[in-house]
Amino acid sequence: MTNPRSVHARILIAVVWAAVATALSGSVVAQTVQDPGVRGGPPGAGGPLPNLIPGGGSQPGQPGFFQAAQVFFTSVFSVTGSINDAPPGLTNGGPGLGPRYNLNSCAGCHAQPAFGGTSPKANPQVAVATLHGARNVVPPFITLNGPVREARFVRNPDGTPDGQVHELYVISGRPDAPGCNIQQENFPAALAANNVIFRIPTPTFGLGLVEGISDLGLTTAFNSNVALKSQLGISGQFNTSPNDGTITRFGWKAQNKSLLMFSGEAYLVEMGVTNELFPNKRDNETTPSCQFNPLPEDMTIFGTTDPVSPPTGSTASDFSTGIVNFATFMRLSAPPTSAPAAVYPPTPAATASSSRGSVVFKNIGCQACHVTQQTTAINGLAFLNGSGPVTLNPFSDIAVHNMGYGLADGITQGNANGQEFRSAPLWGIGQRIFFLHDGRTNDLLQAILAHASPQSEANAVINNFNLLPPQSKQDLLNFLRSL
Amino acid sequence: MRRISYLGILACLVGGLAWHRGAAMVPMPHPDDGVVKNKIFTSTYFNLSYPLPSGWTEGTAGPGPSVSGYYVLTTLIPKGQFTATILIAAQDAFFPIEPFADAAAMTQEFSRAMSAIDGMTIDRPPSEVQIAGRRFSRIDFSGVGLFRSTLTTEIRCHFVSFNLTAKTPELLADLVLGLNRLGYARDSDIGRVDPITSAGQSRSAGDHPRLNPYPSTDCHQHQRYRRKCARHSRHQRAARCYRKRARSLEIQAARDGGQRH
Repeated sequence: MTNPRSVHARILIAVVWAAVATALSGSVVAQTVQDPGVRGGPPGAGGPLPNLIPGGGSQPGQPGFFQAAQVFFTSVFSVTGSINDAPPGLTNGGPGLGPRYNLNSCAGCHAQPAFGGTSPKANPQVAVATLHGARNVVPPFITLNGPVREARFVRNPDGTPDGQVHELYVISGRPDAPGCNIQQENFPAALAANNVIFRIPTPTFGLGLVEGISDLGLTTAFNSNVALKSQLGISGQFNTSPNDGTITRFGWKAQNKSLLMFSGEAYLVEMGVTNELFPNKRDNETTPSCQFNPLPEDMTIFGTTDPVSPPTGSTASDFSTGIVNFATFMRLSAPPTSAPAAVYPPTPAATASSSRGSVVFKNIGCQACHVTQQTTAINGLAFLNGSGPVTLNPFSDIAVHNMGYGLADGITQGNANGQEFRSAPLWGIGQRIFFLHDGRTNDLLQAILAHASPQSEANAVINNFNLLPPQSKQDLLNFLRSL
Repeated sequence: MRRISYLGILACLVGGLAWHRGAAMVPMPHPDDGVVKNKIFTSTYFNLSYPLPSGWTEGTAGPGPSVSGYYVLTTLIPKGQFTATILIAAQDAFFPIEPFADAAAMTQEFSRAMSAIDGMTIDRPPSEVQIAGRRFSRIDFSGVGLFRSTLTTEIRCHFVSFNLTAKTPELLADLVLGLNRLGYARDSDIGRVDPITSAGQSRSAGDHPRLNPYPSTDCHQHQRYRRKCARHSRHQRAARCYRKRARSLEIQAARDGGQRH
């Protein structure tokens, strides 16, 4: 005969066990919400726009210009052009490096998942520090497995706002810089004084289409969801050019007006190469002993061939400056293409999850700032074969928003103050390694959560995210990694 | 006699100066001045008080005022399990990016936007409700397991919205009912609360004072200033122009309100 007391005890144990198991499974589910990681498979970007205009006769037209511009983008620079550091398959970029620089090529930083992208897995800034005997110490915030970074100082020594890029390295010690002895910035001291912030490279795919959106198009898209934004504590504003008052759109704070400006600034600030937009070396410490080339180092070629680079086959490219080639490479590059799922090859379950994640993305309010769709102006892309507006999916309103104390960098650029950043375009995020303006994380979940902090416009959206059941959170991550 | 006259004039001058200094020392309330204190959210500017639901606290602070006159007044969250949120915000009625005629129009636009979102369901179409003597436009909607209600009212030429989000419809209903505790921030009005009623049961307007804490605030004058300042080509310059003029209206309204009391 069964003892009723033992039956009750067994039932009680079963109930307790079930409760514990349920709680445990719940916590397991909660814990298993995780970034699926960089999507595998072929790069979803890196090629040209599909409908470029072919050339006539012996000219390769826009496809040829794109290919030649890509060669410029991937070429490697030295101080005088006398050292060829280009690995097999790439070309010598010529002179202009330094006297201060962050790297010696565009494609070294813009490399993931293809040339034109963003920070690669192995940081080339470690090796370049001492390349050819350059006397540099790798700063503590640069690591082999960390993101490519540029450094900006928040304040000048006298306490006034700085905000400028302070290049990591100097050319002192290199054989192509004899007699140059300028010193590297004291980054450990800047770190100790909490006076240095970082930026990682922004991907450049599809930016010709972004350039082709009219101001009216941007404001129309921005205004179209103003009611949604008002429900979520979101406002935002556009950054504008002090020259003509129009909307600026490139860079982490949308501080650059055009791709040509973007190229010219980066050419000087990241590599030190003076050009027709920025014809002067920027370092006050620059002495004649560190000056090896006539300025600007990048200028229009008036002869039939560049004295350094061999003909590319594209006359348009050969006659253009480096910055025009860089801008053309970005302008004619295709936007990233999304995949059905966050994993490669896609599975039905993963595809379904990404599809659900798309719904989550819109329901919790991500698209209030990461606007899914924009449209170019009618004449915005006249260089394309096939006129008419082009619809694109950058997942950005191109406006700047207050991201709160947590992401603040204290740098003001145009209308964007120290807490404001452009809504980062999310196209191609599935194959990016590092996230947020300073590359502080490679975990997409952490990047989402970092959107919330005091004074951030994203707080309500992140609250919505935190209210979601674990499966919906996972669906959202899977969706983002499919982009 | 002459001496007495001089003394009288002097007394008037000193008195006037003292009055002026006293007036200057009273800080002018701003739309974003709302605070949570003693478990009550209070906005002097909007003459609004809202006792927090039991077991709730203030969440992470929102952004400061925007160039388009949008204010996050406060965010409220439960202390324990994270099951719901309340966001109270205000939008200047005449300086938004996309102006709306009234709260109802704003809610209608919001409904249209929500309807267009894949997976979003409008659970309660826009309708007018009376809560604690105030007229609100209300819309309920849900999607991906979140149940939400937005209630918008007009106060001092602003659209003040209560944005409620909950994990369950029951919890959302509780939060909406909790708005019955809405009251007034000014001492003279504290304690004036009224139960939630449906649109059909709304009380007559005469039962309650005007919503504006300073009744002389003239929304039409605001609108005139807005049009005038809109001639500036740059948005920020237009904003500065408008704010300068709007402030003069506020000062006048405050004086009117002060004389009334």
